[in-house]
Amino acid sequence: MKRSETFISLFLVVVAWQLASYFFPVYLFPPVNLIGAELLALIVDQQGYQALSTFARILAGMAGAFIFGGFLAFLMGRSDLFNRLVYPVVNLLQGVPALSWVVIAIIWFRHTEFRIWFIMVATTLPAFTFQLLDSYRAISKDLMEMTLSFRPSRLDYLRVLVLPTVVPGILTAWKVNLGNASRVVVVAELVGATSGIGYQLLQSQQLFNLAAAIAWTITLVVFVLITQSILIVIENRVLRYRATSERGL
Amino acid sequence: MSMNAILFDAVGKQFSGSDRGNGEEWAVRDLSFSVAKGEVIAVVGKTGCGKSTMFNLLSGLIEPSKGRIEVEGKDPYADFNALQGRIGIIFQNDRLMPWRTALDNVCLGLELQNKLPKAEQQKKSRAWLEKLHLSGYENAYPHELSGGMKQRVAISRAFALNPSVLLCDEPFSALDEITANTLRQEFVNLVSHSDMTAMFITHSIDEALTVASRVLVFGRPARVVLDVAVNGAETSRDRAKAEIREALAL
Repeated sequence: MKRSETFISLFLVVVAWQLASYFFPVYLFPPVNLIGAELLALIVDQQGYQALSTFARILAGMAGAFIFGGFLAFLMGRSDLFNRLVYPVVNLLQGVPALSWVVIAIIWFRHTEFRIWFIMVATTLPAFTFQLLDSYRAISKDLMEMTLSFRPSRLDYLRVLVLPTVVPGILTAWKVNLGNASRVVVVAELVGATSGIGYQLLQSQQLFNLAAAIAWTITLVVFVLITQSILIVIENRVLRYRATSERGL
Repeated sequence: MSMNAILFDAVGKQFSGSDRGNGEEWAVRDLSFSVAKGEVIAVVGKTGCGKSTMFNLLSGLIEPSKGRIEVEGKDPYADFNALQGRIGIIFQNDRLMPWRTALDNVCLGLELQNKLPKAEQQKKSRAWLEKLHLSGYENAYPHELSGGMKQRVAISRAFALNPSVLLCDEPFSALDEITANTLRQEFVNLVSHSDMTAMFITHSIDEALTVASRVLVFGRPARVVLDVAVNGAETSRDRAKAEIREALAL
């Protein structure tokens, strides 16, 4: 999609919203200028740190899930026994709703930041584990035999074969989990924190201030889009060796 | 100390039911032969006769169920690391790493051997690419090269190591006839100007007679049913060809 088309599409949504604001009360459809003022207030009133704490929580949680998930995936890929023991557990974790983790974390842990980190790790761990395990298992047998024929050390084998093979899977896992993590962090903050975008959304709801709620939501969406763009830039750089076809379907 | 570069002594390889799906099966049975240092031999046999299993045994990727294998006096499976840099392999398909440029692919073996500084590794690899007419393609990724060019990179990768034993598993079978002929001739020139011991697996009798001074014919499961020497004379080649055809027909 061209940039101009994206711009036109978003502009039409804004116009429709503004038109709706003429026919509905402010608490249902606040005018666009009011939402803009709320967005400006986030910066002027120095409330940006609330958003930054949310972004930090998302990244810390994902980093934790990536490290643990990567470790589990590696062990599951290396050992059939470990895989048979751990796979059902990770699969079970995948079915636990984010809200259940929120309740469990509130009961188990006192420290707010640890609670949120735990919730983030618990909810994104299964997806990271399965995606990284699939990437590990997708290592070509031909390339494996070719590399082994040079009789490399374990570390060299990981460096020259395993790591480059799983990189596309790692990037995909980060892109997919980012959206998931941004949704979960808001729920975690809504129920179990006194700062962050989730907490600010709760405040907005209690004050019936939809303009502020939308302003906080836009902030989170922009963060996700910027992070996705950074990941795409990294992906294009790291995976530049991939063949592309001039004609697409 | 053995003077053989390669020795197979009553080697057997059996795959279990779970590996092959229909009970235990011998892919290689009582396989015995030796290859002297500097000798170039070809192995021919019908599809599924266990040539590739023998190849994997020889490169140390799988363990024999019975018998003894030696490469340069070492067991390629048990003394796996001791043979680092001494065995070069050219596979049926190029097996290039798609994320590495042609130069980096050629450097791979030298990099894993880690005996030369990086600049030296690259210099040596560039020289091999040049020798195989790939100057100017050092920074190309595999998807940017033709099938023949990719196989040339794979050949450069094997030769760059300067191995004492070179194993080739039908390296030109996936190429068109003209490219295969050119590469085959280049291969023969490279091997004849070195003191390498080479084993060349092929299903083409003509190819075997072109590249090797001795041809082994495998029966099924893999065992030697004919061991024939070939010299340059036309009559010797014709006689060898007839004998190989007869052995394969059995």
